[in-house]
Amino acid sequence: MLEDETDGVLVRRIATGSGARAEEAELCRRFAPRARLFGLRHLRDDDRARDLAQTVMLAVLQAAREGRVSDPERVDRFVLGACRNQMLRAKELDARVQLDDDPGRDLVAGTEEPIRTDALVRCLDALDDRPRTVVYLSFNEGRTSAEIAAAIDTTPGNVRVLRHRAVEQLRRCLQLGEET
Amino acid sequence: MSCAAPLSQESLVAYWAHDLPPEEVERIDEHLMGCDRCSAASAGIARLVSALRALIPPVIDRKTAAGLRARGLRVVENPLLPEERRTAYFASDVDILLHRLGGLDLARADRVAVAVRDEESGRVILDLPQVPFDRDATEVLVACQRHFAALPPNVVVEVTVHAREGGASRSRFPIPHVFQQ
Repeated sequence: MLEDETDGVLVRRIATGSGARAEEAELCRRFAPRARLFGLRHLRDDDRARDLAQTVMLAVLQAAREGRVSDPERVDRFVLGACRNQMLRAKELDARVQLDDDPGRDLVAGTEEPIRTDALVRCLDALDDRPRTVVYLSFNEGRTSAEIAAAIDTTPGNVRVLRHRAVEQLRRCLQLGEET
Repeated sequence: MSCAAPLSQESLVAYWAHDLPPEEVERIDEHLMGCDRCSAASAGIARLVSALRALIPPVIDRKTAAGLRARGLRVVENPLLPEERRTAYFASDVDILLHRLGGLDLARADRVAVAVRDEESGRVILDLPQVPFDRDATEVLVACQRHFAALPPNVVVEVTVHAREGGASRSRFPIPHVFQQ
């Protein structure tokens, strides 16, 4: 079972050049979602995050085929380096990441169901006043814990606690589990 | 999926709130890229945060209102004065009912706070200590959205204008809502 193999085994098999498509697919299954998350966090846009992940995975597969991943067991570091490079390029261009390889295969599979807005609003309404305010100011207005603390007369530490408890309550209310 | 030192939920929430110093962000990036378990936890938070960010803010300025129109959203304006009780009908073909809460002196405002209460119970539905506003205007814009139908229909919006030289004035806008299908 490929799922049981280590990252290093997959990378070494890909490097043999015998067309290890299944190993390549498994490597993408493991790392493409993480690369997309990295892009989402740093570029704040899902389309650009998907472009980044696609470009990164193409680069990683190419490097693996050519035996350029120096430490196959730590291919995660290679992926992260590629993500950071691509993020810098994307920010410099301030435009969509241009794909420089055949994007015929979608390496970033899966689109999760969007959360229903009416359900989200209901769950927000179920929060107490202060955590609801903290959630709005954090994620809707992009304010830091220090800025929110000044606005609602508390400490940044308390804002962080209110925020993470509110997020947990919202996830329970929306019945969201961890992503797979 | 195992992890010797899982990232705390508090750290992951702060990471997605962009509320961590750069070196901590780098550390979390490195951990997430090599960890199935924490990456799955992070993805769950990211999904929720994306949905929260996609919400249109309940109080907006003119520039944001223009941006919503430019996106093709159907915006209908509803001008109101303090204590003017008039039922707001949210028609089925409307995306945003823009309550223009007027009669306010914003020229000398330091900040503006908005609270929305359920008129029957008095319960606070939303309490925003600092909202966007246009200093050269005499009104605050509340972007009422279709999914607000999930909230109590009869609300009172309280707008508190905090003046630069101190002092504050509060205006009440009782707004019963009818959401048409």
